[in-house]
Amino acid sequence: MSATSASSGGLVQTFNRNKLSWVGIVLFMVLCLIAIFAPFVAPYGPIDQSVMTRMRPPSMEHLFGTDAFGRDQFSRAVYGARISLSVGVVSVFLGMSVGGLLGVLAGYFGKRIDTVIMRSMDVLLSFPTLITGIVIVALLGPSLTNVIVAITVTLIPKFARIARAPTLAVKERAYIEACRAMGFSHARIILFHIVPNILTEILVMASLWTANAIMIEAGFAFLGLGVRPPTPTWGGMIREGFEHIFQAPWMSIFPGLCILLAVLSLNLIGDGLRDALDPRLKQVRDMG
Amino acid sequence: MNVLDVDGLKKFFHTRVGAFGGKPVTVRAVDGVSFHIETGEAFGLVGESGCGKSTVGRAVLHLIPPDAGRVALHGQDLMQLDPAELRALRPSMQMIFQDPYSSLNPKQKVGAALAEPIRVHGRGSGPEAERIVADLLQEVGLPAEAANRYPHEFSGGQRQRIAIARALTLDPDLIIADEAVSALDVSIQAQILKLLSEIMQRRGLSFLFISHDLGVVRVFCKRLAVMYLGRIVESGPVGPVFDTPLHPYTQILRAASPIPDPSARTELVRLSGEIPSASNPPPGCHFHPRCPFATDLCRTVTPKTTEPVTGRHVACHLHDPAQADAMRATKPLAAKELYFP
Amino acid sequence: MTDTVLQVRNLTTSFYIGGEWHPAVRGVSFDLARDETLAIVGESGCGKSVTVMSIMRLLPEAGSRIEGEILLDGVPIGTDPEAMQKLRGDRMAMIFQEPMTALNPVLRVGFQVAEPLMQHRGLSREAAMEEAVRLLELVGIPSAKSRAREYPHQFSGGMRQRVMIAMALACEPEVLFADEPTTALDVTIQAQVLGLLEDLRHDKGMGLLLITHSMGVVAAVADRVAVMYAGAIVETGPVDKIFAGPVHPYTEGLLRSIPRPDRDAQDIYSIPGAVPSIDKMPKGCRFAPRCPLKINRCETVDPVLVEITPGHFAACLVRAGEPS
Ligand SMILES: Nc1ncnc2c1ncn2[C@@H]1O[C@H](COP(=O)(O)OP(=O)(O)OP(=O)(O)O)[C@@H](O)[C@H]1O
Ligand SMILES: Nc1ncnc2c1ncn2[C@@H]1O[C@H](COP(=O)(O)OP(=O)(O)OP(=O)(O)O)[C@@H](O)[C@H]1O
Ligand code: SF4
Ligand code: SF4
Ligand SMILES: [Mg+2]
Ligand SMILES: [Mg+2]
Repeated sequence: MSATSASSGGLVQTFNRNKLSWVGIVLFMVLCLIAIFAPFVAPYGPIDQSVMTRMRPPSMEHLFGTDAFGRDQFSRAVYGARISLSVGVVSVFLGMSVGGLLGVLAGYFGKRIDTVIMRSMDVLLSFPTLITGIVIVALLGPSLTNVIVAITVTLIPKFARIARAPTLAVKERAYIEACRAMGFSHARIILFHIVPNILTEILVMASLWTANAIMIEAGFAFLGLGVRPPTPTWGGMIREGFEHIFQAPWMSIFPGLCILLAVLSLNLIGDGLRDALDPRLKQVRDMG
Repeated sequence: MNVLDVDGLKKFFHTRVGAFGGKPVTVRAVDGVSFHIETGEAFGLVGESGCGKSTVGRAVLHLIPPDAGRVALHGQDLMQLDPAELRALRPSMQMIFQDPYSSLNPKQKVGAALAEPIRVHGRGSGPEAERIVADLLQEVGLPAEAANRYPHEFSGGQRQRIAIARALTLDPDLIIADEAVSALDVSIQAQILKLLSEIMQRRGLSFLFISHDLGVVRVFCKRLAVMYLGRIVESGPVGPVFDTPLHPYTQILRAASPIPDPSARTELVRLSGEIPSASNPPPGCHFHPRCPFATDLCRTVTPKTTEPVTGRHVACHLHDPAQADAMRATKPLAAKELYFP
Repeated sequence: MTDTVLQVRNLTTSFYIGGEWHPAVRGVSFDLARDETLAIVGESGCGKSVTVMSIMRLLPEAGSRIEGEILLDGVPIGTDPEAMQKLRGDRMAMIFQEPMTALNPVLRVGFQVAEPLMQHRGLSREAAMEEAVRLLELVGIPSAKSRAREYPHQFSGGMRQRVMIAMALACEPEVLFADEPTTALDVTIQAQVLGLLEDLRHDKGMGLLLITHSMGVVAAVADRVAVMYAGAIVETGPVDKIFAGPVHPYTEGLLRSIPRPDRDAQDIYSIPGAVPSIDKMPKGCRFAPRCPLKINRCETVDPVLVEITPGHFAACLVRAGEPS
């Protein structure tokens, strides 16, 4: 038992060794907590206007300054985190579930099913993300749900590809054959024996694409295709600030920093997961 | 009654070789294989790499659908069953693999891996399954705590014990062991062989024991079949087949198998050349390009299986009385640089 | 003995694990003569490969430490990395277990065989390629001239191992290390490769150090045997003496656990337990936890090699005694 234990440190241990990824996790958790407890964190309401305090630079009262309607930008950023983060998390979760499942099915069953699924994914993938999103939002109308749908649709083929490759590898392992010899159903083999073994690969991509999705949402909002004003989102705030970029640069800078922080934290998590994954892959390779 | 009857089993693979799709080739991995396994018997299957041993094992289990032939378990033809019936029959046949590293799910604790088939087939649940698992671990010589660990915490030999325990969970009648001890060190190999013999005795199990190691087959099996390029060339009781091999290929295989006795040291084979591939087997007797007795007849006519000694079968013109005259009449192929005992 | 080509004295190789140095090879000494095959046997993890890698200085610098003396033709080697670089592939060569990973998949086979000739002998490309074809013929590759232009993946396992041998032989080394050269091969091909190695060793008067875990292979080709356990040689001597009368309980156990294809009704004997990892070595005799003959003294005293008959040494307190 001792001979192998040294070389096979689990995911958690390797992850632990990477300090930066913990910074990422803590950062992301803080952002999530802020979003969840927005009413308690925000000193003002997100749409409370005040004629007295229009376009104020950052101060102790208004940490991020105020906008053209005198709304507290810090409170808006806090509430904006709700939209931005939930768009990122929900669309990636949906994209991962649907796309991942399709990829696993394609890899596991192969042949016809593989061809049909992967060809359709290729078609989806051949449209640039933003174009697909614009078309969907244009067809369905701008709303939070439709933004999520648009991003999910662009993520599905990516997750399908990511899930298919490791499925092909895991499918060839002897334990899958052992499962079949024991008369397990395909559903059981896929859920309990394939998915857990490809999950890490998928989670790495999920964390990176959550960051991507947040940026895409911001892009939609910036183009005016996202959630309707006055509901605050980070992307929307940047757009509003853009009109006054020279008089009130803080209006764009702070939401921009929020996006940067979220993206950075997710990338750190993704890198940590990837590092944790690599030595394990190497070990598998060593075993031949 | 026999546990297993295999009759004219065939499995061809259609693949492509070369870049950009390449040209299609048919690999005749198993090309008409017949044998039977008696109850409580270990039956060996030996041969060089790529001769189709594993494919026979997989086709018998219907993990890959055979192209032709009959596979009958306890006299019941598996080819006639629908998928549901086949699944219900699966517990009676289990498999042990060569590589103890890839044959266990790395994300599943040993206890869960052993309990899963018991639960899935409704053979017990909760505490009852746990009790069965504890008994199994004890049977294969592992501590009960092993149930709470992951496979990577075990050495190769211990993992092979876990794989054996898993094969036993459903109380099978037949176990197909594909090179089950080949990846292990001599002392660990001996430990596992001992364990398998004990289990076979105690449970009255039958084995299809696939191996390329004649020594291992000799200690573990009662009868065996020797395969060459998808066909069985000789079969019979282990002792006589190894001591007085009839087929020229068995003779060469036997001569090339090292014996741990320097006083029995013989001249080593000096022949060159490659094993022909199953995708392009030579015509006639597949073995003729390497056979020291080959004649023109061997080059064109596939030898029939005969029974020159009771209980021993061989597919070679030399042992076919019907071909005796023809063999004498045709000229031997050019002498080959080849060692022969 | 003027015939001795390689002398290894007190070779100790340690690895840095968990903040401490642990020896993987301890005080290994042996001689290798010209035209002699010395086999090193033992279970996995006994230090066979580390021994050879230490002699060849192929271990990673960081985290490993090599002590002891190595003499090639009576001249100490191993201290100067640049001189070692010149020796490797020239006067000392090596064959690995996995011929696929040891060959470069994107280079033509002929070129890979010719490379050491260009590097060490300064041959021109044409001359080296010509010589490479001759070498491939020598190791029994049919139609060597055309096959030299193929890539490793177009060769079967046995053929690749032949290519490895051709590469190793290119500069006519004085010492050839073969680390499990046949483990991945079929028995029929194994016999061919071993036969080839033996012929070449004899023709060129090389010293052949053959690492294997198969007692059958040892019996088939070795002149002398060194049995390694947990990093040390526990028994060494002429092959017939070791097989006819093993002294160390480990050698005996190894011999008894081999299933033989030529005997009926064998009881399967197995040495209990497993080789300890290098950071968990027991005190005293390292075989004690698995030894059927163990006495109390074995747990404290580390046995040393004692000469039993001329040339036959064993390190066991019970069977070989202690040096007076
Ligand atoms: N899924 C497959 N697709 C294509 N060819 C295959 C497949 N499985 C096996 N083969 C081919 O069938 C032949 C027999 O393979 P098989 O694995 O049964 O041999 P084996 O006797 O078990 O060899 P080994 O001792 O190396 O395990 C080989 O030529 C192999 O390349
Ligand atoms: N670079 C390294 N760092 C730490 N430990 C090592 C290193 N290389 C080898 N070891 C350890 O040294 C011991 C001897 O290893 P070695 O590779 O020499 O065994 P071996 O006898 O060749 O076994 P095998 O038959 O498996 O090839 C093993 O316990 C191994 O884990
Ligand atoms: S049939 Fe001919 S070629 Fe085949 S084994 Fe017999 S003698 Fe040899
Ligand atoms: S010294 Fe003692 S423990 Fe070691 S091999 Fe001899 S009898 Fe066994
Ligand atoms: Mg096989
Ligand atoms: Mg080694």
